[in-house]
Amino acid sequence: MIKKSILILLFIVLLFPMYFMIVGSLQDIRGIMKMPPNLFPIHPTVYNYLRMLKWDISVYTINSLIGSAITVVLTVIIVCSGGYFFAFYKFKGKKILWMIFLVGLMIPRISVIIPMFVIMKKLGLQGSLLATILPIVFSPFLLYLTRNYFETIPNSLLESARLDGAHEGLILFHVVVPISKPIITAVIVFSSIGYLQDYIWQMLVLSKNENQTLLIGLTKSVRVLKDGLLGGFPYGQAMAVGTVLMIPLIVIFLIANKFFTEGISGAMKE
Amino acid sequence: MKKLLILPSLLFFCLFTIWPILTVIELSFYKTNFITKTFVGFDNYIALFTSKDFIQSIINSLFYAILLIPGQIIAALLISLFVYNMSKHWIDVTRIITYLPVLSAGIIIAQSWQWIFKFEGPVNWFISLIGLPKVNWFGQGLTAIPIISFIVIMGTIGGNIIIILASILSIDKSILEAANIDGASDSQIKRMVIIPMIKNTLILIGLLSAINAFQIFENIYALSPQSYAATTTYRIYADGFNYGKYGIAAAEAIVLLIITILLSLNKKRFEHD
Repeated sequence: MIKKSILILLFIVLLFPMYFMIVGSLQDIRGIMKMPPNLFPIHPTVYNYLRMLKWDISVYTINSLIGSAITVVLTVIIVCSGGYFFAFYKFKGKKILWMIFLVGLMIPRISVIIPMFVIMKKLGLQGSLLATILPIVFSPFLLYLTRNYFETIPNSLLESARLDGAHEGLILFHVVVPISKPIITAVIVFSSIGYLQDYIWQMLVLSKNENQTLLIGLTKSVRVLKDGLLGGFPYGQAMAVGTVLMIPLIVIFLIANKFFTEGISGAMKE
Repeated sequence: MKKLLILPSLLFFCLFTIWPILTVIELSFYKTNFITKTFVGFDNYIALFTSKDFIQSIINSLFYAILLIPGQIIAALLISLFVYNMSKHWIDVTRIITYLPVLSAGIIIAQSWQWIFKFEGPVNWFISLIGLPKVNWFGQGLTAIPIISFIVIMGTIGGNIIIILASILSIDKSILEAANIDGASDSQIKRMVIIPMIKNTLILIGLLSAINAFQIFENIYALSPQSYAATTTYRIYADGFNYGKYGIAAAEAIVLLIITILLSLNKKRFEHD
């Protein structure tokens, strides 16, 4: 009983910033500035949400959907093929190649953000949605998890498929992928969340309004608002934007939760 | 045929990891605004080590790392050890609730944190209630760095807990039962059985935390981008995108890269099998 109370206390601490964000989003500026802070919106208003309807929210939503969908598809293709390669193929230099890939994990995103700009220009992708997708689809960490998961698949399963004359691509898609749904779900969750949270690169690349994602379009609109309110920061509006941005992430996580945990567990067996 | 399966990974790795690194190395030896480009040798690097802001940013980054690396591991480990032998229901709830702050991490919740710690905000309201003077929390490194570290830990704890819990729950139950029958206490089991058995996972979390500690950016950018709390990542961004000093920013990036790689050399968990 004591244990459960401690746990619940911990949950409250972890959730209070989100809770205040939601409460703040439902109040006007006077409600937000009132101290002690209101634990519930005393005069609730949806004004902060209604105002968002005037922005190009449908454009941003479509861009976010397309962006995360392409990111997920490319990431799954990369980690499945790469994971299969590293889990089931033996060759000289495999370890070295693996180590080189993992160095990618240690590279701070910011440190390559300027050259990434140059590269996108050279590829003719500057400002496009594709420029926000391509740099993040190769994830050494997700490749690592997938390889680990694939390694738990008994080799005999692959051998019997090979004896039936199936080639490697066929084995990957008809034998390995169907029994690896948990890790693939985990990859989908991580990559879509990663895309929807990838603020700084998207902010630098997506200069045109019609190409902006929810994350960029909405946060930009709050910043523009700041000047309109004589420098007073529109906290309520910012919190409403934060709440809206959080919803798709929570939905993805809750839908995939069961498979997601199973996938990580499978990849992390000691 | 099998060999071809490496192609997608290799293609993207070369295009968006190797190519940028080569470009950033090249840039670090030039003074450039992308229209003109002059070779300056090691001038950019020399400029860095005479730049107060840069040296301060390295010190700040180390300060963050000292708080973040142990903080991330210990917080996630303590919570995982606390719940692992509770009912499945509580374990599931813990996983979900500790992951919610991860989903709202970074820029999404930044304004909420700014409000919580602002001068006329709830934290200051509370401490003036108990008779202490109000503090400008993001106004100096001494308070800004620990607070931002706390925010970062909260935003990563859920992922680490999922990984650590998965690892603890994969331990053969009979081992824990045997220890129990032999008279080991609860804390002895945790210290002498569980922790040694999940050592590899803890090393992995340590490595990921070390890498992450040197990559934090968004919270700094949103909450306290002044030089007393800014990290090297923020300097790279500011020098590159605010001041257009691309060569300097590239040299800073190389220094950060070297520090990160040196500090994450302990990569046994990845090497094995």
